[in-house]
Amino acid sequence: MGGDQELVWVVKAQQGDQEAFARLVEAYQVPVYNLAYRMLGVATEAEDATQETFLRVYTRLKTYDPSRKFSSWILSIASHYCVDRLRRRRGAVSMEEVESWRWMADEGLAPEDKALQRERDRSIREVLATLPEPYRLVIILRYWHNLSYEEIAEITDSTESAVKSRLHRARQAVLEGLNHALEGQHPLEERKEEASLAQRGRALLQASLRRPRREPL
Amino acid sequence: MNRPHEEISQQISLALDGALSLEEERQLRAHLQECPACATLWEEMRGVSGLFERPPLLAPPPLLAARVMRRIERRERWRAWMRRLAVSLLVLILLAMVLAIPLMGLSTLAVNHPALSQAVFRALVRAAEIAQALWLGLGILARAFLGRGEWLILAVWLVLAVAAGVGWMRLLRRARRIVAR
Repeated sequence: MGGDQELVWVVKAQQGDQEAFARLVEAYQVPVYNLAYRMLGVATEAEDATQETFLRVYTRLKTYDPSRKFSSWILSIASHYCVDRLRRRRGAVSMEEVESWRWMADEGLAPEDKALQRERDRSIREVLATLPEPYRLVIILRYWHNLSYEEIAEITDSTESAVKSRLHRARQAVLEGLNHALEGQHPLEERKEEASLAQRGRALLQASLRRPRREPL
Repeated sequence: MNRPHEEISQQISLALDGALSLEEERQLRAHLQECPACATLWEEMRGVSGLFERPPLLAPPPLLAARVMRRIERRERWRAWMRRLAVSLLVLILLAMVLAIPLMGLSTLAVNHPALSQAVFRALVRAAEIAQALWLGLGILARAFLGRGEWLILAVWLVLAVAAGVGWMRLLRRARRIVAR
């Protein structure tokens, strides 16, 4: 989306133009929804979180400072909302499978690879679910939104060096989790999830090395 | 096998983000060739990073944006009504205050000067009588012109009712337009 066009919509929306705001919602629903989905791990909760995020964006529109990137501002509101929601969450949530048509088209993916896509989504969800929230958030912002250290720092209210080390620790935590699961330290019956992750751990790492490089969201 | 070096581990992460300078990258590569532990970590960390590269994107539900906008519209409508209610209440309170002061003054005046209040009352009665006389006069005139007074009165009432109805509809439409905006 062109920055100038976006700024026009933002200014119009600030003046109360709902049509302009609808355009902003259209433009940002995919990034916000995917951030929420990856943070919360459940598609239905992600929809609710996306709605709440946009309502917050709408009510705080007057406080938006145009010198800031609008996308960073929106993602920061979404991140804060998801973290709050995770803190309020009680008990475990059950994972639901997402229908295959819900996946957005990936040029590098043949139609028959949809099953692989689902399998990969499950692995990612399992891995992310084991990460503490701050680590999960930086991984999502780095890989799903392809943001720089500076932008991630702005969104998470921290410094670039903090983001660097947090990303590093997040990767270490993922690796440790996979290795830990691989060593089979937990009996199969007790930790079914980890066991299934263990079976796939090495294969996941191998497969991910062969995958082509990413494009921004 | 030895443990990988902690500072190299951090460098590996930066390299994965493309945040190293050429010189730093060269140094890292040189170290990886010498240190098998760090070389293994590099491969593993690349695997972790690759797990998230080109991540699958989920399409939002088809009506998500529309639902957001509906919620915003509802919110705005509610706020508009609240605003109107607040303004009406304010106007009512102000009116009551404005009316209360002269009424209070009048009531003390009436108590202190009974003759004056009687005069005012008589004037009001006279005014009512004049209005009644005018109304009767109109009736007589109408009957003189049309022969049947009841029809004329009915017609006047009809015109008045239609005018009031149209006015009310206009007011409603205007209110709706404001709400929609």
